[in-house]
Amino acid sequence: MKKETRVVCICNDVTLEEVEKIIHEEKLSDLESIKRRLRVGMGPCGGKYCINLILRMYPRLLGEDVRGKGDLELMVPKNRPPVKPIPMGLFEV
Amino acid sequence: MEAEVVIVGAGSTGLFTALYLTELGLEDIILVERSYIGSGSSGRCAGGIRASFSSKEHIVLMSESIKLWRELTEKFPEIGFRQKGYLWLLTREEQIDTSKNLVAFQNTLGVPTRIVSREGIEDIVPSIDLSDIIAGIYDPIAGKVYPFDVLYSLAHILRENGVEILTHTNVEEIVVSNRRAVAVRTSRGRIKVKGHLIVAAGVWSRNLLRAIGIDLPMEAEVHHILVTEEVRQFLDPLIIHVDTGAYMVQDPIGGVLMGVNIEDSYEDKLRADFLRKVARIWLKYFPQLRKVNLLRYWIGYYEVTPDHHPVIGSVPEYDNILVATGFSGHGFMMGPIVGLELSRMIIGREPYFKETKKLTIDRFARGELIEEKAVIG
Ligand SMILES: Cc1cc2nc3c(=O)[nH]c(=O)nc-3n(C[C@H](O)[C@H](O)[C@H](O)COP(=O)(O)OP(=O)(O)OC[C@H]3O[C@@H](n4cnc5c(N)ncnc54)[C@H](O)[C@@H]3O)c2cc1C
Ligand code: FES
Repeated sequence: MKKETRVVCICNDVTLEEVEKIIHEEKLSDLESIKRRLRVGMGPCGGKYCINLILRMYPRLLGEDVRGKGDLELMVPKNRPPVKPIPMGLFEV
Repeated sequence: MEAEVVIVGAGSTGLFTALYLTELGLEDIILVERSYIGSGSSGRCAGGIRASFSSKEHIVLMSESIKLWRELTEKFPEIGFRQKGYLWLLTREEQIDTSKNLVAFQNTLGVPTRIVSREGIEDIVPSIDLSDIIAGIYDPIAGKVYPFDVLYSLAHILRENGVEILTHTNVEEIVVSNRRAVAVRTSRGRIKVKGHLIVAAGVWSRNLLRAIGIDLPMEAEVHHILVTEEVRQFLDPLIIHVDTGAYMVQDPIGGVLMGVNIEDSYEDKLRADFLRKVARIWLKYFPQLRKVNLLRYWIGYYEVTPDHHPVIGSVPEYDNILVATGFSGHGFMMGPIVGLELSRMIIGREPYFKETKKLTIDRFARGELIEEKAVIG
């Protein structure tokens, strides 16, 4: 069971603590990596909710031990189409 | 900065090579990656793993790679290799004879593929609507992984072992002198190469090498792939529609990946005809997917050589440069065996397999090409 329940990504059920752990223990601090490692922003909403939230919290999340290590380009992840989900059946025709 | 081994590219090839080097006790390694880990082809691939190929080289090396995938998953469960098989779907009578020959050849090399009937297919994939499928080839030792689980667990293991992975650092030039790579000039300064330089830069390897006089005959081929939203697990094997080369595989979170080759896809642009083609092929056999939403669609590159085999090993022009690329659509699955063989070459040993030795770059100049026909997607 998850101790804390500060969920940042509702679609894929990712908590703030998981994001912090990835940044500090696995040293993955760019958003592209955090996104793919934890699947934040990869749910049906396309990250509209969670990526913005993380972006806002980014400076605080990074903290001292990774700041200045040169690895933290603030890369805003690319949104891969489609922006709105479309049923597969629509492409068949 | 300096390191005994400098690796250009943190895709599956670079990461697996570093992993096997650390297993040999060599940890003075820097991986230089111009973007994020897995940002090249590795993070865009379907994660399929098989040994059911048509050339002896691929069959032997991929069989070994599968053993390593299993071994690694036992040691590091996060790698998550799931041995759920591959199923090739046949729709034309004449495909059956070719398949029988292929299966017989694979069997002599220890890959236990077999022809399955329509009923056999339904046993493996109960949710399929057989439609025009007349038979299949089943490869029970093949399987799948979720690429980012693999890439990030490798990166984590490596960093724990003291390996440096410099992301967002571009290698602008390989500095050579006297038949040796002495350094790489990067966007963040120079890194001295004390021992070996490994070029594992995917489709971008060609330009890096051309600048130092090495001609690597390899093209970047655009490939399209999509994933649907999550659905309950319904598909164990990766399935291939032999007639079109289309494939479909369900990832561990439930997303369904689909890919197929389309005509004239030279530009890296998203294309409506890809969506149409892949939907028409797969929804016929899985009508229940019609209501499922498309989640994402992206493109990636296959690093394609003239004989669809990779280039692995040393180059004639230099004494301390090794190259590993040109996987022609199968680089992820091959990562473990390529890493293992390269790590041996670095410490001055012979590779384990004579098949590996046949894959050096000089085969093109000698005209000793190897054929692989079982290329899909
Ligand atoms: C749609 C698709 C589906 C696929 N499906 C499968 C599959 O099911 N199974 C399978 O085995 N294979 C599959 N492949 C092929 C597989 O993805 C590749 O063969 C494999 O990932 C190659 O790995 P790599 O590490 O050699 O190259 P890459 O992953 O491309 O890594 C090279 C890295 O080098 C970096 N780089 C390049 N130039 C520089 C530079 N100058 N300085 C610093 N860094 C640099 C890049 O940013 C990149 O991260 C698929 C490919 C695609 C496109
Ligand atoms: S909230 Fe994270 S992808 Fe939707």
